[in-house]
Formats: sequence, C-alpha cells, structure tokens
Amino acid sequence: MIDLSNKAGFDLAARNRAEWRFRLYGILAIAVSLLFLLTMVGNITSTASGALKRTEIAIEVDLGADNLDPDDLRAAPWGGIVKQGLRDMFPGITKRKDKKLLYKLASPEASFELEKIVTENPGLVGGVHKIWVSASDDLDLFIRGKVDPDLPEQKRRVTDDEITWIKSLENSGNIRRVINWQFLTNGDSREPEVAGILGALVGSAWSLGVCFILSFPIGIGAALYLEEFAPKNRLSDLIEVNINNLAAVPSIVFGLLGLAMFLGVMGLPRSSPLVGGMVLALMTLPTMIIAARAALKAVPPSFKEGALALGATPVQAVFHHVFPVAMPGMLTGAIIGMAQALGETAPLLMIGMVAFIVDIPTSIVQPATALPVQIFLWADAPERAFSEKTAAAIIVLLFFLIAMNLIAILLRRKLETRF
Amino acid sequence: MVDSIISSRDVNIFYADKQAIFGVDMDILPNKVTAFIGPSGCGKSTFLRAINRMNDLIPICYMEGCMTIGGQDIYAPEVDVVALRAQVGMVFQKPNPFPKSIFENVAYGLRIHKMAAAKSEMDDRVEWSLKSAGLWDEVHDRLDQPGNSLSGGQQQRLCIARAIAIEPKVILMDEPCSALDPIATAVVEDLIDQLRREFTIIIVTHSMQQAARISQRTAFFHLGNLVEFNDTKTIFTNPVDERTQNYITGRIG
Amino acid sequence: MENNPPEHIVAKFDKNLDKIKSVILDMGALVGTQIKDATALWFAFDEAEAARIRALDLQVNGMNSEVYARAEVLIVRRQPVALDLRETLAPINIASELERIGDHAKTLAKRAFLYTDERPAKEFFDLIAQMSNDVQQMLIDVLLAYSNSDIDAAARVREKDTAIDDAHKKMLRMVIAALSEGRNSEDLTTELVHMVLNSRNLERVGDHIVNIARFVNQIVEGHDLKATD
Repeated sequence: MIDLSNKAGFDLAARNRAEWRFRLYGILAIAVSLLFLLTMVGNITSTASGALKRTEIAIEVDLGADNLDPDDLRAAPWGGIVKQGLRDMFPGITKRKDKKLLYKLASPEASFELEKIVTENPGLVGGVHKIWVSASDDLDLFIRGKVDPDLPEQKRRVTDDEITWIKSLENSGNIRRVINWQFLTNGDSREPEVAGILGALVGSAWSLGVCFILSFPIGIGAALYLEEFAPKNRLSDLIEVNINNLAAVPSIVFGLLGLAMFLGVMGLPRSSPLVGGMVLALMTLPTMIIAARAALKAVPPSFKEGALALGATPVQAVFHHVFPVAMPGMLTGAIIGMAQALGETAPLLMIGMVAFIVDIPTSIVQPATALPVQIFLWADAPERAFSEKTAAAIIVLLFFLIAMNLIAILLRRKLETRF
Repeated sequence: MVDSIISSRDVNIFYADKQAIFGVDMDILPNKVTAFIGPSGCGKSTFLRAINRMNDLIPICYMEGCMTIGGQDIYAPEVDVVALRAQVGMVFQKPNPFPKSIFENVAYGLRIHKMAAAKSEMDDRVEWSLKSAGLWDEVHDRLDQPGNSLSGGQQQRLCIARAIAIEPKVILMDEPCSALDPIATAVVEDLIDQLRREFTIIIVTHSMQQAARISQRTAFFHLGNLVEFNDTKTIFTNPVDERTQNYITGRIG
Repeated sequence: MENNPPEHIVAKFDKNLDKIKSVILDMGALVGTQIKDATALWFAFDEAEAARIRALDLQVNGMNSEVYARAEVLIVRRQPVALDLRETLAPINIASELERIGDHAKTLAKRAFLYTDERPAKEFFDLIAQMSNDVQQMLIDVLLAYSNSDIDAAARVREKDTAIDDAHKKMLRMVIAALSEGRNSEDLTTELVHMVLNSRNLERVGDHIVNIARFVNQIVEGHDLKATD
C-alpha cells in the first residue's frame, strides 16, 4: 500500500505549514492595504458628505419699481434688496450692530444669486416674491448641528441672537436643505457656501487636452523610432537611460523648467492651461514613451519578420503590423500617464496655476487652476466649510481617475488582438 | 546540365567576430526542393537567411563572398532588398499569420507591391494563392475570419499562400513543420512537392526523414561548413563524407 | 581492416544491429557444420546422422525468418539510412544465401542414402573432400569478412571460388572419362553421376558464398558489385 497521505514523510507537515503561512501573509498584506484604502475613502466620504447638501434661506424681496428699474437690472441695488428683505422678516431689530449680524444670515453671494434669478425670470419684476438664496456658511454649520450651542457665546461663531433668528426662520419654513449641485456648476469663491469645482475641472480638462495632444504623438513617435528603427549603439543606450531617469525626476523640476522656458523665454500666458498642459506633457512624456516601448516590445517579432520577408519596407512592416497590435497597450500607457498628470500639483504651482480664479476658463490661454491645485487651495483655507469642499473635490478627482482607468481598460478590451 | 538559380561562392558569414559560415560554395537548381540539414548551430538557418538578406536585420551580422540569384549579386550596392524579398519569399518555423483576416493575410503582399489594381483581380489572386496552397476548400467560406483562428497546419499553409501570392522565384522555408503534428506535416510536405513545379524551394529541416522525403538535393552543414551537397538519394544511401554518415545515421561523430 | 564507424547515440541501435549480425554468424556456423557433416556421410554412412543433418534445415529456415523479422523491426523503430540501412537490408539477403547453402547440404545428405556397395575410386572421394573443405573455409572467411566489414577479405573469398569451379570441371572430366570406358556396372554408373551432382552442389555453395562476399562489399562500399563486375 502506497501512503499518499500527508503523513507519508517527505517533510510534508513542515512544507504544508510553510505553504499555509505564505498564503496567510498574502491575505494579511491585502487586508492591511484594504484597511488603509477603506479608511481613506471612508474618511473622505464622511467629510465630503457635509458638502452634499447646502442650506438655503427664503427671503421676501420687494422687486417693485421703488427698488429697481426693469430696463436696467444690472444697476439695481441687489444687496440692498436682500438686506431689506431680511429686515422685513425681523422688524423688531433696530440696532445697527444687530442688523449687521442679521445680514450675515444670508451669504454675501446672495445678492448675485438674486440678480441671476431675476434676470432669468423677468416676470418677477414688479412684485414681492419669496426667493431662495444661499445661507451663510455659519448658518449652514449651525443647521447641521456642527455648532455646539452649549459653548459660551464668545467661543462659537454663532451668537445667541442669531440662534434665535435661525430657530424662528426654521419654524416658519424659511430654511431648507437642497442638493448642492452648485458645487459642480460654480467656479471658485471666497465664500465656501457657493464655492464650486467647475473652474478647476475645466482648467484640468484644458490642461489634460493640451498635454494629450502634445505628449501622445510625440511619445508614440519617439517610442516607435527608438524601438523599431534606431540603431542600437551607445547613443541610443544613453537616450534610453535618460528617458528612464526622466520618468523618475520629481515633477516640481518640470514645473521649474516650464517656469523658465515657457513663461520666461517663450513668454506664454502665466497660469494658463496651455502652459500647464505643456509642463504636464513634459512630465508625462517619459512615462508614455516607456509604456509605448513596452507595448511595442510585447508584439511578437514574427509579425514584423513576416512582413519584411514579403518585401514590406521597415516602415510598412511597423505601421501595418506592429503598430496596430501595440496600439491598445500604448493607449493604456497614455491614459495612465494622463491620470498621473491629472493628479499632479507641484509643477502647476510653479507656473502660477495656483491663483484664485473665479471665472470658468473658456480657452487654453485664460488663467485657470486645476483640480489638485484647487484641493490644495481649499485645504489651506481657514473656513471650516472648506474642509468639506476639499473632501468633495477629492472625490471628484478620484472619480475622474477611476473613469480614466476604466476607459483604459475598455479601450484595451475593445482593441486588443489575440495572437 | 541545368543552370543553377542561386549560387554562392566562398560565402563567409560572421556574427560580430564569431564566424558562422565558412567559405560555402553552393549551386541550387531551379524547380527542385533543396534541403539543408545539420545539427543545431551548424549555420544552415544563417545561410538560408542570407539568401533573402534577412540577416541584414541583425546589426552584428555581416557577410563576405558572393551570393547570386539568376546571375545577379544580391549584395551589390544597387540591389534594393525589398525587390529581392519580393522575389525570394520566406516561410518561418512558427506559423506567423498577421493578426488580420485570412483574405488580408494573402492580399497583404499584393497590396504593398501594388500587384492587383482592381478588386476582382485581388480576389482572383488571393483565390489562386489559397488554391495553390491547398487551403481554398477549407477556408473559402470564412475568408473574413482572423488568420490565427485556423489550426497550426492551416496557419502554416496560409503563410505559404501569403508567400506565393506575389509569385516569387524562390521560397525559403525555415523548419516549416517543426511546430506541426504529423498529419499537418504530411499535408505541407505534399504541398511543397506540388509547389516545386513553379518555385524553387529551399527548406531547412531538423528532420532527416523529412529531408529524405521531400527534397531532391540535400546539403549537410556542420560547424559552419558545407560538408556535403548531393542528390538526396545519395546523401541518404551512400554519403561520401564520414561526418555526413555519422550525422544521418545518428552516430557520435 | 579496422575501420568501424563510431557508436550510435542510441545504444540500442548498435545492439539491434549486432544481434542481427550474430544471428547471421550463428546461421553461417550452422550451415558450415551441415556441409561438413553431410560430406562425412559419403565416407561413412550413418542413417541417424543423415536424418539429423536433414532436420537442421528447419533450424536454418527459422534463423532466416528471425533475421528478416529483426531487420523489419529495426527499420520500423530506427528508420536506418545509409550504412545502417545497408547493414539492415544485406543480412536479409545473406540469410537467404545461407539458407540455400543449407539446402545444398541437405541435398548432399539426402543423396548419401542412395549409396551402393560399389564405390568409385578414391580420387573421386578425395576431390569431393577437397571441395568440401575449400567451401567450408570460404564460408568461414566470408563470415569473418562480414563480421569485420573487411572488403579485402571478401575479395579474396571471391577469388577462391575459381578453384572450386575448376575442381567441379575436373570432377566432370573424371566422371566422363570413367563413364566412357563403358565397362561400368549400373551401381558404379549411378555413383559416378552422384559424384557429379555432389560436386555440382558444392560448386553452387561456392557461388552463394561469393554472393555473400558481394553483399559484404555492398554494405561497406554502398554499391552493388554485380552491377560493376
């Protein structure tokens, strides 16, 4: 009888234990990474949840002829109208100091919001209407219970009077919480309650567009030449080593280069997505070349050989047979490079994309900022509400990264040829 | 005596400073199957690839001596290697159909050489090539399917069809059956015998039985030297050189 | 002549070829003794011995079949070419030549049954004995030549055959001379005719040995001597 059990000798017990141990280590390693990831995502999501909704306050505004001229809405005293509306809701307040506090219930941006609403709905002119505008960030925080009313008055940002007013507004149904779509449709602002991400998003998109248009053709071209045509000698070895080294150069160095070259020497507009994209392209190029070369290397040489043996010229052989097969891999590399560029902050700081820009850029030469820079800026801002915006912006950034990686996977699936 | 189509005179081939082929003189006759046999590393593949200058792709490889096809020195400066390869086709050890359709595989050579202007002409040439390669009956209803959906033997015949589509004078085959099963091998061997009528075929093979089966002339290479080149019948019944005898009979030489 | 090719990479190949060779040598030794013993019957007839010699024929035929079967298997297994192929195919022919030699020995033994009291003169017997000794020696020589792949020895064997042919012609002349004296009894006449037939058998044995020598040549040199002779 042949013993085939684990007691058959061959040091089986110890070997099986080693096997089991190794698997355990693996599972532990994965568990630890997952834990970190979950903590990070959980932390960000819970912080960002505060920015999911915003608080609005309803103000009765008198849009009568006393207050504004229907033919010249731009000149109307919107701020005054809002303040008047607030005063009308609390007629008992007479002291100047209290009035000032009262005005702070609405966001300083409320007048612009009102102007926008009335401009878009001219029918409102002439009557008294209840209009919903953004509440101030302090009111928002209080509504969400982030302000502890038991603290001494001096130690909190909301005074006892304000609390009374807010409670009364709440009871009369003049405060509501709505989904914060503005976060995605507004530009940056000093006021956290209206600050949005769209400006940074558009800036990032422009920059990435410039980056892709520059780095993809150049990267693919360089990779094709180096891999398929360049003679193998010391010079090409040197170039290869340098490209590999460039991929490891800290990105801020590329920022300095961009500052010196594109802004200093070439005089391109500061803070613009054009320069940002160019700097990001510089940074992405080595990664893209390396990825593209790896994709080209992975193509079996037999295709090229077969084509050459049929009398194809080297360029024909490469472009007809090697390039199409390597394309999905090169695209994947490009998208991963772009994803890296999307998350890059340091080089953009160097070329001035860190400025506070409210307007949404409409071309590549207008000043703009980028998502990670926006995150950096908000993270630095003192207002408590901005930390929630920061987390929300991080989620937007992560979402875009995931989307780009997903595109990479889908493209590869779709274009991949089996051989 | 029939004139040879390929002649080599004192051909030496080097990889950097290592010599792979030593002074080979050889005359290859048209419309015959010539087999190159010899142990691994004997230089038979290197010599084969010198005939369509595929060795040019290896930067450290260079050649001395004279190699002619139809009387023309193929290493002369005025020779365009593309024109040479259009005349000297090649089939490789591992079937390497392009990752395209069966039709496009065969049509590729015709396209790059602009040998078929009209669509109908292209169709005709592709059909002729596939028929000549004995593949038409098996694939005519699925020409749009990828070439690598075929079996190994069919892929190799597709590669042969691809090579003959542009009607070269010579077809070089580098161990074309080494990745095929015996049945597929037999089909390809039969095909090679058919193709001999229109093309000159040179085949490198590790299988001596295969050389004996399909070739009319056999060359035995050993350590970079052409030891013996003779009628296949003579090589396999009564070789002159002792090294040939030891190799083909499987002796420790 | 020591010019053996090197060993095969596959050791079994050499063993297979050697086995065929040893069967041939055994077979040759057997038919050699068959001739020797059959000849002896003419000097002292022994019925049991004669029967034994005739029965050896079965063994010889069996060895012939064995050579064929071994060659067949070797071809299937090893696909011999060149020298190996000749070393595989020639034994088939050599074995059939040896089998014929055995047949002649059997005939000699069979004919010994027909002996009469009236014996021809001693010179006839001497000549038969001499021819028998000669072909036995030739057989030994040709087997050695085969065993050693020695074409010089094989050539000497072929040359020796003329002596056998001459002896046969001499026997023919002697018998014709004896018969033409016309005073022979019927028994003596029969015996004299048997002498011619015996001599004829031995002469044929010589021819088969020459054929074997040619096959030895063919194995070594790769071409058939008959075509060039």
